[in-house]
Amino acid sequence: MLSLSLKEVLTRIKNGQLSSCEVFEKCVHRAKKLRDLNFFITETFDNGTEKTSHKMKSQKDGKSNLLPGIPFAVKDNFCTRNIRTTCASNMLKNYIPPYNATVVQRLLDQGAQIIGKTNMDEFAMGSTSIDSVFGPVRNPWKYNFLQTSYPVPSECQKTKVHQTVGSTDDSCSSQKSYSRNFSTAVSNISERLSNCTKNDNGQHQECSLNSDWFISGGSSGGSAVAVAAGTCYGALGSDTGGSTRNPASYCGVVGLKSTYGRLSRYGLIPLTNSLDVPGIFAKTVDDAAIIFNTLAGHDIQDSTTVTDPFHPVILPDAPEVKGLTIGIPQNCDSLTTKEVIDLRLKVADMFANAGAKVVPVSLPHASYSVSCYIILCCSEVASNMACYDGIEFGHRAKDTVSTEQLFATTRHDGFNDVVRERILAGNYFLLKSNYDQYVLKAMQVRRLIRDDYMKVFSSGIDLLLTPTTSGDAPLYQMLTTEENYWRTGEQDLYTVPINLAGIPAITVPTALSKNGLPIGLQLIGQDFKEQEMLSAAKWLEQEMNFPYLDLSFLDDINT
Amino acid sequence: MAHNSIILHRIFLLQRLPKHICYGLKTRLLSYRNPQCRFFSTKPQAQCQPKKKWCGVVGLEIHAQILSKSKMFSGSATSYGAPTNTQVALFDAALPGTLPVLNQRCVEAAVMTALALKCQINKISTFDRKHYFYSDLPAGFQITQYHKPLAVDGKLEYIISSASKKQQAINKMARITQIQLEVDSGKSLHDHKDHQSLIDLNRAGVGLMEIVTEPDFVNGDEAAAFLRELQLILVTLGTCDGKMSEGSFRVDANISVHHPGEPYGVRTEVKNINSIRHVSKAINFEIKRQTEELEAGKEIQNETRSFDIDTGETVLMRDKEGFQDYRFMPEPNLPPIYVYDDQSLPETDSKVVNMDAIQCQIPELPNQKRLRLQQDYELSLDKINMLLFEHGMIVVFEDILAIVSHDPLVKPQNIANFLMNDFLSVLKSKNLSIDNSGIPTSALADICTLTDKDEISKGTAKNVLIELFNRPSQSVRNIVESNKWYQINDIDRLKDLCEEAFSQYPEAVMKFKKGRKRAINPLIVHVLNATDGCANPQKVKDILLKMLS
Repeated sequence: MLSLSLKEVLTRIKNGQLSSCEVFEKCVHRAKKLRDLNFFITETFDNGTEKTSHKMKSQKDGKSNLLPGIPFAVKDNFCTRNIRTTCASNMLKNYIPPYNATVVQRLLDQGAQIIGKTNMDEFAMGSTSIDSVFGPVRNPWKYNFLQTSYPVPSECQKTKVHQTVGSTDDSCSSQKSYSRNFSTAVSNISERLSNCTKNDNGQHQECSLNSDWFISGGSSGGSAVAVAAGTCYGALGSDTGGSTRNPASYCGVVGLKSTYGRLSRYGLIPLTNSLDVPGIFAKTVDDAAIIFNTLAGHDIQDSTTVTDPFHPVILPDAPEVKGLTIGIPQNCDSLTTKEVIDLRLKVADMFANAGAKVVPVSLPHASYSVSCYIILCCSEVASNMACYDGIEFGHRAKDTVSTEQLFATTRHDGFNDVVRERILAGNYFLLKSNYDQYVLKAMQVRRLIRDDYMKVFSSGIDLLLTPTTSGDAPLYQMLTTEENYWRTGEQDLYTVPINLAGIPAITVPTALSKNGLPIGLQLIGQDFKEQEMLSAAKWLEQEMNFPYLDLSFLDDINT
Repeated sequence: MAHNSIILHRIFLLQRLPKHICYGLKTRLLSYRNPQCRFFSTKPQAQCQPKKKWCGVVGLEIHAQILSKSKMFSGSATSYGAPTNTQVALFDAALPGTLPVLNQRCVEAAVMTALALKCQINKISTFDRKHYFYSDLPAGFQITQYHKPLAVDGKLEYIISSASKKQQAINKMARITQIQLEVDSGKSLHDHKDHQSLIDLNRAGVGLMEIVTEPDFVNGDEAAAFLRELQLILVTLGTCDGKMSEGSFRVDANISVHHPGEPYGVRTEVKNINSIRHVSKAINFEIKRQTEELEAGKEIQNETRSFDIDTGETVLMRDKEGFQDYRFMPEPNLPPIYVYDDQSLPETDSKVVNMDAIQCQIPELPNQKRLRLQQDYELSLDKINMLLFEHGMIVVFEDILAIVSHDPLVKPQNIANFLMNDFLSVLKSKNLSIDNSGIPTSALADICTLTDKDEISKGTAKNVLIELFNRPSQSVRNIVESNKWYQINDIDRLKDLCEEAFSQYPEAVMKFKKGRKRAINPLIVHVLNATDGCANPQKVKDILLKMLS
């Protein structure tokens, strides 16, 4: 059941094949098995089931909920009424908001249930999900579940991944349902498990696999993992410079960043207001569209949402890309792995073969994106973080020598190094003597970057195709050296300019790397043309037949 | 050569110093170089270049709370004096994730104010964040308009009332630099005994118009006259209640002194002055203080001072950690404010701010009213100003005028006098304001009518008024009748009383005949007293004069 897509589950609930309660309980069951991955900061397993049945009653009373009782995970930087919202920080460790973010409320209005608040980088600053006061999030792909929780025989080490980049060639079938993909995609882990269950000599031994694991990406790593691991049918993340698309790519799920102004930011604890967009994690493009339709539209509470009426996205069963013009930006950084570059070439060829026109495009200012982003992000961070003074809410230091000292100690205790560094840098950029040189320039460069995209689109390009990340997920140990840690910033290269331009983008899991890890590719659309972008993304999804992660073997194990 | 060049260098430098220091020193240097010059160098100075006078330069910043039901960016109410922290929306407390939603009323009020002050409205203006840490500033920044304010380049004509009847009132004009929208902060109450601060956020987020003037005032009297006029305009427009006592109209003054024609001196800022009278006093004190400092050869520090009501002096405020860099940045959560006119009005959206429509809603402004009242009723400017500056009085005056308009006998001048003398003094004695007097305007009109028709005397008018305050439901005519307060205009009866006065005050009669005109007064008073104040004083005087001649 947890292998089903949201669309499939909704159909079965409608048909009476499944009950909402059952779905929620299964998800909770799965989530409990996966606590090792540390993707929930706050679990809301208890109130879920009871409310589900309540919601079901109200549905019988005639209310039609689009998402009856469906479990959703919500990144812990969206305010949830009476559920603590921590931003993975000491500052908000015990903060319980009195209101729901608009996007959360819209999910609840359709009957959805929050199953948990997901782990992330503190205040969404990072692209690893390891900078959380609640500990790092772990990627379920290639994760050795057996090491810590389950006793298994040693043969399990030898198992190999079957699906790799090359293997996708022969599985391009446009009409395959998501769940059939599931059944064909066999995770190495399930194989291990079958070996494990066959072994009944009772001689269990501790698995000696390397204790390392792959990171989930970030900053919305917890939400990506929650969806990838099948503990919910969709999740909210936030995307400021790629914080939704990056972990979606690393965890093999769909990650949608819509046009700035399409989804309300009310209740999303801000990182960079002018770049932040609520992100959507889903198992499939269809699911992403369903969730997007639920969330989108003007919100009176957020003046930056567009007031134009929203026309829901409707995706054809068999979308076509014939006649589309796909632009391929030429700039790639040296860090991008060959397999990612090859994958993009391959996919570009597939578009061409399906009747799309594929043309190279130039985005001359894209290379300034990360510098531009750093200045804008830090400046707004410095400003946004000024409200954390310990007076009205959140952590308050016991230091009462003076108000100034109270502020200083509170903020020192409440923020990690990354946050403090950005505040410091941002305040530096905003100084009267530096403003013109840094902030104003960055805003001008931002305009140039957006203009690049506008020029490309006005020249007849419908969509752009780029990698989402420059490689697959790195190992946690790789990031423990300082040099590598800072290199994670460069993973934003393909995602950051999209936020600067405000345009929509989606990452679609496309293939597995030679390490057996997911690689996503990014489709970039035009302002408010999510329909076209999602349509092409669905085509790509159907073509690639990505082997989704199946952790169903875990459900039957007694712990 | 070397010696000469040093001296010349010194002179060059000295010429750039304030003149009053230069002259003396320059003279000494010259006389040192050429003793013969001594006589010439000092005498012409005394004759042709008298020591210049220091002149004050004053600019004002006014924070006017916008009269609106809800705050500028949240839905919470704005009523004054509500229990602490009962008017605080989530946004006002800067809870994470909350966003500002602009209150259109605030924009319209500011546009109306800007139009009344003849400002140029920026069709597109933007909001900025001004950062500083303070416990009653929950977000750690104030939303204001720094880079592009709502309106610029206005002006306001104001009048300095004559100090005595001989002098003419003086018309003045001050330039408005800009009007910007911003939000108020909360309030801190510092409990020094228990070492704690209590924060009330009721005021946090209330809309403010910051009105900044050019340094166009030379003293406190000008500034005060300007502020009274501005206050009057805001109240007339209904964009601010103008109540300084409740903090809805706050003034900061920037003050420096210089010699006319020379660059401005270093300025000080006097903050948080809570009445116009104190603004005037603070400015005049500060000009005096700065002048004395400079005369004593000291320098003026750029500093913030406050006004001590008890001593009438300005004192240095505790330095807020010296220089503050407010790190302004554009407010990313608010789109620009667009102000349209009839030409640019978009067809689709009816909820936009249209300055032409707002222009039409502007009521008669004080200056227009002055002109009209002068022309229509031949009232003196001073009289009109008295009516205008007494809060609510002009409305009562015009309401009475409207009631008695059909009656040519009732004179506006007399209505004005009655209101400003009798009505106001009774109100003050009873500690009431015009708004809560409880006296219907029609009753006041009745009193004025009876007075001008000689049915009651002016003295009686005040008694009627006092009686009316005691029993507001009574009709004026009833009061007059039941007290038998009708004026005695019967010549024969008055003559009898005058003769009685003649016989009782022979000395006064003698004095009058010797030329002491004022000696007639005891005679008049006698008649008035004999009639309980009901005798027509003018007629009594006429009869007495006739008898005396």
